Amino acid sequence: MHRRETLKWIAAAALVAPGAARAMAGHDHHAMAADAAPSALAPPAYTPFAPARHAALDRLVDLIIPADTTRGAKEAGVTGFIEMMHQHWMSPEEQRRCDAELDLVMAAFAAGGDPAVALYDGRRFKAPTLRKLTVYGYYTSEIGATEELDLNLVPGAYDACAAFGAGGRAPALNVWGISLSLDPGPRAADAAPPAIAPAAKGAA
Amino acid sequence: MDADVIVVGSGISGGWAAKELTERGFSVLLLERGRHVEAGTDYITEHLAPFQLPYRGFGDRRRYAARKPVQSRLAGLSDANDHWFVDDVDNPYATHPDAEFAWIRGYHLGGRSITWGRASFRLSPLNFSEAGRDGHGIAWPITYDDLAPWYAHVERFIGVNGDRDGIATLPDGEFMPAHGMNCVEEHVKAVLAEKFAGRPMINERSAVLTRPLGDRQPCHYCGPCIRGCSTGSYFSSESSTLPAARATGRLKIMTDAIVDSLVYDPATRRATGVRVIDAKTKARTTLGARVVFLNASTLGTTQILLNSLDPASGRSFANRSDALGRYLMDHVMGPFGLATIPGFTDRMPLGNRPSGIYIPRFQNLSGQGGADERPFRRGYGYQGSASRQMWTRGGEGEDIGPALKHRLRTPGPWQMFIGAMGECMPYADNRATLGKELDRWGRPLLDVAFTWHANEHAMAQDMAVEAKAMLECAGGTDIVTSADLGPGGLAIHEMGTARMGADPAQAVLDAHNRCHDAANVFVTDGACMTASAAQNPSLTYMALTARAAAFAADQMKQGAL
Repeated sequence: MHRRETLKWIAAAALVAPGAARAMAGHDHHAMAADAAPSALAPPAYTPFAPARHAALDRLVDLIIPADTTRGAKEAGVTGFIEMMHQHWMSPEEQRRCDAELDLVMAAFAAGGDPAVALYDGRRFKAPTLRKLTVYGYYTSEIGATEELDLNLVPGAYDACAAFGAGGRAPALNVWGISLSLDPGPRAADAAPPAIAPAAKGAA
Repeated sequence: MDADVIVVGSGISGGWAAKELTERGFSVLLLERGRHVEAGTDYITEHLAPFQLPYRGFGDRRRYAARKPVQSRLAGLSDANDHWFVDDVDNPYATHPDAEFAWIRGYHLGGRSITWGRASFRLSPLNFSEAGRDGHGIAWPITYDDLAPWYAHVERFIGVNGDRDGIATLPDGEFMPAHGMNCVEEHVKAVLAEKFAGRPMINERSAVLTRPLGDRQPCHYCGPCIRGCSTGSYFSSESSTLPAARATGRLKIMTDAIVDSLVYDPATRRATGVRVIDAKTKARTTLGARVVFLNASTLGTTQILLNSLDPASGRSFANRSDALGRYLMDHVMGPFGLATIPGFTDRMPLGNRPSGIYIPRFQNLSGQGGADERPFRRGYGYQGSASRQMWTRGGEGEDIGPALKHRLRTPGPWQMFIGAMGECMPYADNRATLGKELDRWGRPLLDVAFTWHANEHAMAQDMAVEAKAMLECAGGTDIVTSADLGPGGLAIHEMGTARMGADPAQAVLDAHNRCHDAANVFVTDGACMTASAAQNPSLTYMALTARAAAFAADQMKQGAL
């Protein structure tokens, strides 16, 4: 492996030239990304949702995190991430909740009009679990982490109070690990429980 | 004889035993019950991005529910690090719903030294003498001065960064420069200095290099140390003690070698051998040595000793005191405070510092009553850090579209977190025993019962109250605190089940970590601890190991062993 040698260099450089170390660290990241990850670390194979549901999820994730100056959730593969998590990670209750939310979303899309309006009950977004999964899937994707945010896997130096100015991007890496909970928590927008219209469910 | 010394366990203390004994000229056979780990190349998740992990770091939770129900009690167990934690189904133990103990384990070369938190604080003269002052627990058979040179010896080798803070109850050591506090931590420190007399906030002292040390390189600030460190920037057996022991040419390592028990000779009152089971084939063999060091982790060592019978009595040879297995302690951990700190939004740490801040114990220090007196014994400190909120805050909320994406493009507000860690008192009923059931290698299962008592609950309440008071003074908003204690074990500081003490009727080990009832059996992992103090314990295990190894080496040279 070259990695150890590269890191020795980075670590040594960090003492004299933090900027150079950062540049080198970025290079090292790309070199490592090209390495094949050990096969045990590959994501599990999954079966996509039925075509109509897959298409609706595609549309939903891109409404939640659209492309602008960087690519959005659909291009980042968030649809497949949610399908994988649905099959391999969620509890039966979480699966049912996601399914019900997707039913509501499909009903809203079918009703036509501005989806940004149709996806809300008052101030409440109709699919909070799918919204959260979209956020978590996007910012841990290669596009979300490296294009939208700043992924620096080996900074090589530490500056406790660096200046953060206009145009700066938040770091993508959450060092302490990210726990994902799909437990429905309290929602600030409304004290009442979300209203799920039976008619809308039936229409899906 | 298979070696001069058999060392059981390759974790943070076993590695030190191997290093010190081989460097003093003795051959060492190191037995590790788990798999081999090659430093660097086996750190398979080091520097991987979230999208290179099967579950992006959210963990393979269905597998954890089936195979790692205990290990997954640990916050942060994920697909980035779960290969360092045992399969609970293959490695069972018994515990109790009303006295649950969560036994967090890593069975592989290097043990939990690969995943430890690296905080490295000395115990103080007060910690070694407090039982004499307040009458609770038994006295240590050694003083701070006995251990101080060994703390220094260990610190110089492992590399500890920190400041010489001049705090009597948290003695200074041999330090490399600290990583340093960020602007919000400096702010909170200044508030504490002004408004809370006797509560200095200091840089955490941590076994991570900020300067080169031998072949080991300074920290490159990648952040998740728990994945392993191919530059050896933090101390582990793999990065430091095992390479040093190998360099002598006197170290032999056997992995997948489970120690069942010691062979005890009542005539000489010594162990004559170690019964070993091949973890893969279950084949049994007996290995011999002049001296045995038990470093199999607190409960692992206890299980071996409980299963090592004196043929004359049919009971454990090491348990004349009835203290073996009793007095299990784990640090009082769980209570915390978290607050948003307004301002400082033009600042952002660059790089991922592998440590934080520390607020040393500030309760019951004088022992004379006064402002620091509390309605519980001993005390606690806080570890913590300030950081800016990241994109995960976007998981909550109702916004979607360009507004959401724009909101998460920059870091969120600063938050200050302080988590407490306090001294646990030794109680006879917090206890590990051998059950009737056998594991698949034919060893009696360890049965562990543990509860927090009134002192720990009172301490936990105070931890939350004081955290809130300090965060409020620092201008914190949206303050969240908790006084909850989970099951014992989750501080992963289990200790005390073969304690040191001068009186063989009260303690298992003497002042040199040697069994009172077996002159050639040493225990230098957490099992030996007479009291827990509030500080993270690994540095003390290492110093005690180095001291005991030097003593054992002298005894062997003199022909006494």
